[in-house]
Amino acid sequence: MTTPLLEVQGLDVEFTTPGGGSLHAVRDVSFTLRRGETLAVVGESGSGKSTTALALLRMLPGTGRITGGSVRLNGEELTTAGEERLRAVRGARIGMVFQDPMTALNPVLTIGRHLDEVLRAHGERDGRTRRARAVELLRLVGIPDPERRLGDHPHRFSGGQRQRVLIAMALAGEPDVLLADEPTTALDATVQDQILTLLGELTRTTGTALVLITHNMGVVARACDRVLVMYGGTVVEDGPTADVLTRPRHPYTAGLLAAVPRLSAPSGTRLTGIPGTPPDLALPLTGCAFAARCALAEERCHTTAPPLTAVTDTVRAACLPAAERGEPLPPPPPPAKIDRPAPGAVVLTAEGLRKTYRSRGRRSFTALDGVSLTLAAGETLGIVGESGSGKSTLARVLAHAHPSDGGRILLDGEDVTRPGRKELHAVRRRVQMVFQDPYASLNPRMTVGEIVAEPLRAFGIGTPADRAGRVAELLRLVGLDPAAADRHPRSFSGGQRQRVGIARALAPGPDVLICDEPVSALDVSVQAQIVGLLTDLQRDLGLALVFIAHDLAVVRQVSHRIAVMHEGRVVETGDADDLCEHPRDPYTRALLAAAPEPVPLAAVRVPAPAEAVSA
Amino acid sequence: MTTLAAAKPAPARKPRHPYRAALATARGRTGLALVGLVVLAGLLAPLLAGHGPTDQSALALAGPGTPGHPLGTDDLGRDLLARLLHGIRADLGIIAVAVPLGAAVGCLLALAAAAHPVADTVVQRAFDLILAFPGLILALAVTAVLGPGRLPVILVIALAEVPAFGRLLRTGILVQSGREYVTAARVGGTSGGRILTRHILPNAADPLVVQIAVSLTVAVFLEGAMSFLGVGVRPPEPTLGAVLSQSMPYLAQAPHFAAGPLVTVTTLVLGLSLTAEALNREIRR
Repeated sequence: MTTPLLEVQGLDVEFTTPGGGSLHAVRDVSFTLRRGETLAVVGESGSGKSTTALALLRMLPGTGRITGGSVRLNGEELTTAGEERLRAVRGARIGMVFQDPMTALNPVLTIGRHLDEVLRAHGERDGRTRRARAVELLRLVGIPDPERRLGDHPHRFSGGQRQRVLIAMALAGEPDVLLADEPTTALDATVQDQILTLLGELTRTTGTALVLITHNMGVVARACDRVLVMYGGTVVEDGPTADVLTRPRHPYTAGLLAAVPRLSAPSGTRLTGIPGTPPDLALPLTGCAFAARCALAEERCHTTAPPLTAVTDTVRAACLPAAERGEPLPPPPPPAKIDRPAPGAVVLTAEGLRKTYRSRGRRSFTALDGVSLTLAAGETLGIVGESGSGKSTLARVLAHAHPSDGGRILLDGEDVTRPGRKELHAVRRRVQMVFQDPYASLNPRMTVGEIVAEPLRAFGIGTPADRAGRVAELLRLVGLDPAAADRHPRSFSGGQRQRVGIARALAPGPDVLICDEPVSALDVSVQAQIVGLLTDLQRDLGLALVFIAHDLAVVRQVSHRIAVMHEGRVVETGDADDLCEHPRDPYTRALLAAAPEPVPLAAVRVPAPAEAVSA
Repeated sequence: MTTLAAAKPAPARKPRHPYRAALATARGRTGLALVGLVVLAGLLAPLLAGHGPTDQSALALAGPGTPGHPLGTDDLGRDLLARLLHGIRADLGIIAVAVPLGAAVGCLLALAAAAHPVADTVVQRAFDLILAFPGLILALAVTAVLGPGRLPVILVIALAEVPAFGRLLRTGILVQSGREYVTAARVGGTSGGRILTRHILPNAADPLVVQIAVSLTVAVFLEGAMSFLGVGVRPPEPTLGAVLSQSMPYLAQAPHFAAGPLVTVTTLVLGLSLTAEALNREIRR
């Protein structure tokens, strides 16, 4: 067997925190990449997957530095190479594709100029050759009519097309390795599918090896031969995608797989999560990083750091019990049915809601175009759609954060579309909202206690003296320690902040809770905790929930009924299970088809990855 | 679904207020020490000077180290140390009134601008008008109307600082009011006034603190320049700019005459700039 293209041995990366401490973001990471191989690096936020990728090219941000280990590209050491040498490697030998295609292109330069500059940097002197090569690259990534589009500016391309252009730029230097850091996270599911297909084709036709960094198990299943699972800065499992995804050895891999919502899971079942929160990387690590959250942890797991050992010929796992067990972990039990009471009478009705955003000198944009829906007490109405479908606008209009331009909103049969000052106050007490971004939706200057008490104050609930007690009660209700009331939002993780947001929404005792993408900013293992909390609260308090998300699988499990939105209209609405199994609208069908499942279908369709590795 | 919070032990050091942390850095400490030195000299002027700032002696243009006159005397035989210390006192008195006045007026106008679109247009154009005049032209225009003196200097400095504070706060309010937590507060039933005072203003105020340190620096310059040009505080009362102006004809034969005010202004400006920079770095993090 020839030497691997890229060989990483015992890589360590540290950051210096503002307080002067050090944060060990990547600990002892080792892996190899062969020519033409596709490797997925998968993990949740803080697992060190992006840091590892950036460390390969020594492009660590801020105070980050490599404190140990080696990175060899074709046998050449990169951790000690000079800046000149690295410049020659970046782009030419290792190309990079970033997460957000909307900000990665310079808006004042044409696409042609972007490609031209990259090609010039790679030493192509002749202008005409560069242009011809640019056209060729655009054709390669599937941009129609490339000659004409070279003169267009980035704003004339859609998000998916921009990502294609960025891939073309990364390929311009004919690199041996393409590093893609969450290349599809900012894109809609249907576009994500196209980009993954493109990446797969490119690696086959050009022989470029691909390192795909992602948090999405579905993306891994669809695009990569081999997968490296990271947790808390360490590699926990490494092996062929088909093996790892179907027969996980490490409890974290198994937990992560079980936590991914499946489209096949019926409505009214509980999402599986991983209890606890990811480790604090600023603290020294003894033993396995996952031990604190692991149901199978033994005494030695907390004291001895598990080495990455070969469990089978191809799979390596960093778990002491797993190395001895020799057997893969049993599949997770099927999702448990939740006993939930049947929905009651209708509380909220929307009839023909319209909302148009006008901006000076430009065409107006219709965000809502005659949306009608009903919501019963104790019922969850799921709303799915891609970005720009108007689902967030609908949430804001229903919560009276923005006025509607037309149509009616009825609360218990009373028209509350354009309430007066007093009625608005009464409506708000009954209709509350949970926001998408748990970082932006909490005032950083207030303590958690003050944030949760804010609606109590506003609605004059209780005397100032008993508010503290009510706040403690609310925090306990959402699964937080009442002692959290004295701390600021910045000392909490994303999932905990979302709990604070839910506690605030519950404070005035609402009947309707509008959740605008409450879990899309959270990791899958934490997502299940928040969804479970909302379901429990609904059962205990009889809340009517509007659950907005772009992930159809989560929505199906949570909702009684689903409404599918597309371009400001509801294109299909119906019973959750019925809609997912017998979609009638073509758009619903497209959404269902594009949802990535963490099952390695590729293993069935193309030659088995195990063979590809040994070839 | 168990309790998650407070599982981690509290960090060893309690997080300090960011401003205190900023001022505890080497940069912040140096800045504060320099400013403190000058301010102390100004406050203790009557105790340290030993002479009145306008007392004349028989010695004119005595060199430094002359008995009874550590820094020497000026062309009229007045003690330079006394004039310098009282000059600092006068200067600090002016900028300590003028900058907060400018800041207060600027912030009030910014609030008005944020409240109503018509007020916004009026305020913005007024700021444009003030900014169209360079500081010294503004100074000459104001003194042409009011005549020289302490009050015109204060007015000029305040006027020059109003747009800086106004623009900064207006931008801050606009940025913060678009944030999701403000929408959350609105949906949570919080009243408009409380949203402004409790949610928006605390988050928009950070840049203002930095701007105060910057504005104090500009004010020192502006006061010095006005006194130097003879449109500032009326002589014989000493200010740093006035002493400097007076020393100009003697620069070749008695350079120590100009040294006092120059060193003082440099120290003060350096100290304020370091403080502003330290605060700014902390806030941007």
